[in-house]
Amino acid sequence: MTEKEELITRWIDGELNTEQELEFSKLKESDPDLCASLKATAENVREVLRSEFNSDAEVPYGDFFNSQIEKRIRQSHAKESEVRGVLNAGLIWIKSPFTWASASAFCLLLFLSNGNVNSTVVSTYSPDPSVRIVSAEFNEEAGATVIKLEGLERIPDDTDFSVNHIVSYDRQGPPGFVHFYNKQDEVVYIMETDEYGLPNVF
Amino acid sequence: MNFSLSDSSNEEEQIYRNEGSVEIENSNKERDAQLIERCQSGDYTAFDELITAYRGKIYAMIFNMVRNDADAWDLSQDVFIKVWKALSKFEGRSAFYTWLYRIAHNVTYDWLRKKKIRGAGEFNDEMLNEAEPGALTAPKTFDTPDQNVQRAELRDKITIAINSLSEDHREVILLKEVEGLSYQEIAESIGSSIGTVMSRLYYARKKLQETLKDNNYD
Repeated sequence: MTEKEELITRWIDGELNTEQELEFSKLKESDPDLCASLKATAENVREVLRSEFNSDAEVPYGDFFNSQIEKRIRQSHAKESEVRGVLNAGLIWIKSPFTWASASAFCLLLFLSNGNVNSTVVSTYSPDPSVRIVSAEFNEEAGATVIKLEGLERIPDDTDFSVNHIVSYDRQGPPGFVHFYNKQDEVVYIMETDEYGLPNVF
Repeated sequence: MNFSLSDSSNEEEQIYRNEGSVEIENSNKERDAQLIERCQSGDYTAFDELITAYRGKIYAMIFNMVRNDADAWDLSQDVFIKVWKALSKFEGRSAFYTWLYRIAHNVTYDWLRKKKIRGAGEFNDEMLNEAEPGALTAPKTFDTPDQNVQRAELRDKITIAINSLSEDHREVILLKEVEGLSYQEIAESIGSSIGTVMSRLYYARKKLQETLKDNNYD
């Protein structure tokens, strides 16, 4: 595209700046017929195009069009949340301090027992002096270590444990902080990772 | 066929019309900004309003490129679904409709590209077909039988000429002449420079002018 063609194109479309207008006026003076003829033809094309092509049209079944979009968006959200839910559950499990504490305890037991997992627990400690540990033994039938405690307050039957069930989390706030939320979108706990990458729970 | 060139009274009318359209444009911008803010806070009813406001334009724009009602309908839906997903990232640095056209451009070009691959060379023949009978964006009808015949003839020539343009040239000339976008807006919509826009416009016009000239419409 030559400079002359560019000037004429800009003039036809009303896109000349002040400097280009001066240049164009010289061009127009030197060849007024050419400019007039090009503009007239361009206007013909414009008129024909505008009469044959619409810039706006009525969408067939407009309401259905909108409702289908909403339906597809909702379906896509549902799929995404399903995948996110599985990933979140995995992440929560991995990031949970309890998971790491259990894993560490298991490794310690394995080390102390020299590979014999079925041995009794070596030592127990209760941070609350009013709670006494009656026994802590591995139960083969249950396949788990059973700890019997005395002195705990009675837990009412109507206690709703589901409030502590984590359904989502986000990383808002200072770097390194993760907020965990229950179904009611209330913060259940906040986890911070210290400089050694170890979790602290609030 | 003769076309009248604008006289002074037409120019005055044009200026008046332009002032009116600027006012409408500003009020649309304000409306869009409010709706977008509501959408970004998760209000779907606001998005439904945005769809209703722009579905006709997007549908027509896509129809002009794909020339098929059903495909234009489906592709327009894809555009709005992409818009909803991307709306949280929209920062308002460009006008909403320019951003929307950009998404429509990408969706349409992806589809045309895939269709071209599937069609393995048959694409151009298919694109030369006229609009479907009864299509809502089909050419308009005129009052007298003579005019109808002339218009029909012209419509056929224009359709062939437009369809013989490359997708890039066709899109730019339609955005300029039918949608009335500025160079800057076209450049933003298709992700090109203003120089590219001007060059495509120039060659598209040249080709259309040649077609009209060959058929004594000049």
